[in-house]
Amino acid sequence: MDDLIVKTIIRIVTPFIYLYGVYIILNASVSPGGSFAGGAIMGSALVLYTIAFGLEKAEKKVPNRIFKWQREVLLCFLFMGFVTIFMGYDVLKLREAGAYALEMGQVVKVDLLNLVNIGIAMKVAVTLISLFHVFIKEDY
Amino acid sequence: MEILNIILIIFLIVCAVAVERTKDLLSAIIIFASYSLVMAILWLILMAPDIALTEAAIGAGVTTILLVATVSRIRRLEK
Repeated sequence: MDDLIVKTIIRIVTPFIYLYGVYIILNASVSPGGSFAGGAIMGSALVLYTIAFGLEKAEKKVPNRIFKWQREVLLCFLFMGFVTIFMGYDVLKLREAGAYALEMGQVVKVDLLNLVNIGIAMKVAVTLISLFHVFIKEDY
Repeated sequence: MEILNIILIIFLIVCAVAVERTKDLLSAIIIFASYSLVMAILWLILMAPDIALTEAAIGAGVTTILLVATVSRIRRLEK
């Protein structure tokens, strides 16, 4: 799409979409939203960039190797479990360690759940972007 | 609030029927996006802001883009 207005507006708007996605992910345990919605917003920002600027520039922005991230999400969960064990709590009683902060407006002491939220959001964003790129590619 | 609910639900039903009746697939996708937007407002009225956020991001954004990408690969008019 070769349109100057669309390109300029998307160049201005995209950082704010990323900022909104990061805000939703980091406040996922205390505010409406959640990691899935935040990851979807961050993924749709790059889909918007792909529509305006074409596939070649977008593939330069997102290199191909991050589509093979499969273990990182699992590593986030494992890291949270080990941190909980080393703090001296049971893995199945994460609420005592401060991992769950499910009430609105509650001050979070140890925000361990954010690590898992970042992992889930990463996976969702990467999946959305790779789906769209596979759809749009001519021959693969 | 009751009247707003009734208007939104009537709009939802009209959109759902219009998606099925439209022969042009691109128009059907645009009507489906508006259906998803009204559904997000309804989730917000029903006090489920999580679902509203997800519906606005997935239903109105990503699903529409994926369907448009699909239509760009096949023919536009339904037989």
